[in-house]
Amino acid sequence: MSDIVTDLQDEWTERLSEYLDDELPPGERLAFEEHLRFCLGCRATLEQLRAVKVRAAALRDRDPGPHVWATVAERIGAPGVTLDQPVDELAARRERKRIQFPWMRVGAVAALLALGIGIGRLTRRPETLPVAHVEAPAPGTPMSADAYRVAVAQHLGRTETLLTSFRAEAAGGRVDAQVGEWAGQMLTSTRLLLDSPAADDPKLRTLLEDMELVLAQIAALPRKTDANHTEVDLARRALEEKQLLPRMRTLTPAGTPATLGES
Amino acid sequence: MKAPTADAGANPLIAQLDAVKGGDAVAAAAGDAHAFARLYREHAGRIHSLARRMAGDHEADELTQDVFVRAWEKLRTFRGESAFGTWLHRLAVNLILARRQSSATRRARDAGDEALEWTPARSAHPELAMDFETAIGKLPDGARQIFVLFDVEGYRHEEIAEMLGVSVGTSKSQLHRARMILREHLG
Repeated sequence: MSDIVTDLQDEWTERLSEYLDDELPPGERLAFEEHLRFCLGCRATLEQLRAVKVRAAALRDRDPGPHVWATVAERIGAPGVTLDQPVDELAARRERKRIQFPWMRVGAVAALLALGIGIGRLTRRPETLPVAHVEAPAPGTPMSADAYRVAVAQHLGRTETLLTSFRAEAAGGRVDAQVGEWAGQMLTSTRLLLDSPAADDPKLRTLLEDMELVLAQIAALPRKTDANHTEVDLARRALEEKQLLPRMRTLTPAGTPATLGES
Repeated sequence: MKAPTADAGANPLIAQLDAVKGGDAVAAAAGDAHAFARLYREHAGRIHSLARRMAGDHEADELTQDVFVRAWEKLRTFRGESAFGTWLHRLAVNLILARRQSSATRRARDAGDEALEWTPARSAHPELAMDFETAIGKLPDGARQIFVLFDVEGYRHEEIAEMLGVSVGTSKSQLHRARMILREHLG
C-alpha cells in the first residue's frame, strides 16, 4: 500500500508546478485534486512551491553603482554626461534607516499624496476608488505628523477598496485587468510609504510589507494573457491568510479626519 | 512593475508619464545623451536586477553596461509600438541569454548536477536559511533563467521556449526543478 502511495506521489510531484500554474488539462486537474485530498506530502510540497512563487513575485529591484553609468557614458561617447541624481544615491536613500528630521522626508509622502490624488482623479472607475480630498503640500514644505497619518489613512482606505473589489472578483475566478493595474499603482504607493517615516511604526511596517506582497501578486495577474484561476486563487489566499482587510481596518491611525477614505 | 507585455493601459496618468518617457526615447535616438541618461536612471535598476538574477553578481554590471550601450546603438530601430521599457527589457533578455549560451561557465555548470548536491534541507534550521536572491543565484543556469523569466519576469512557457530554443516541456520541468530547490531556502 505504501508503495502505491509513493508511486502516486512521485507521479504527481513532478506535476505540482503545472497544477500551480494552471497548466494541467481539466481531466488531469480533477484527478490531481482528488489525489490532493488524501496526499499530505503533495499538499505540503504544493504549499512550499506556492510560497516560492509568491516570494519571486515580490522581489524588489536594486540599482547598480555609479560606475556602471560612468562606463556606459564613456562607451557611447558622452563621458561628460552625468545622472542628475546618481542611481545608487536614490537606492541608498531608499535603504537608509529612518533618520532624525521628518521634514527631510516630506518628498516621498508628498509624492504619495500627489500620486494618490492623480490616480483618484484619473481612474476610469472613480466610483470604485475613494478620491482623496487632501491637497498635497508644496515641495519643500515641512509636513506635520498629521500629514503622515493622512497619507497612511488615505492609502489604507484606497487599498482596502481595491482588495475588497479583488476579493469579490476572485470569488468568480476571474479578475478584471484594471484591478491589476490599480494594484500596481497601490504597490508603488505602498513602497513609498515603506520609505517614509510612517514605516517607523513596527506594526504598520509589517502591515505595509504584507500589503506589498499581496499587491505584487495581484499586479502580476494581467501580465499573463492566460492569467488563470490558480494565480487568482494564490493571491486571494495570501490576502486571507495575512488577514489584511481586518488589519487595515483596525490600524487606521487615530486622529484621522473623518472624511478620509470616503468617496 | 515587471511587465514585459504590459502597456500603459487605460490610466491617463500612466499614459501621460509614458509619453514623457517616450519623448526621452525619441530624443535619445536623435543623439541626446542627457535624455538617454534619464532613460538609464529610470530603467537601470530593473535591468541590473534582471542581469544579476540571470547571470550572477559578478556579471551584472558588465551586462547592464552592454545592454544600455546596445540600446543606444539600436535606439533608431525603436519605433514606439511598445513602451520603451518593454523594448529595452526584451533587448536585455536576448543579450543576456546570448552571452550566457556562449559562455564556458554555462557548459561547465550544466555538465554536473551540483545544485542538487548543494541543496541541503534547511527547513529545520530557519536561522540558516539562505537569502532568497542568493539561492536563486546558485541555481543551475538553465533552471535559473527559466525561473527568473517565468516567476519573476512573468513570461509564459511558450515565450521562454522560443527565447531559449527549448521545448515547452523542458521549460516546465526546469521551472519545477528550480522551485523544488528553492523551497528549501525560504527563510
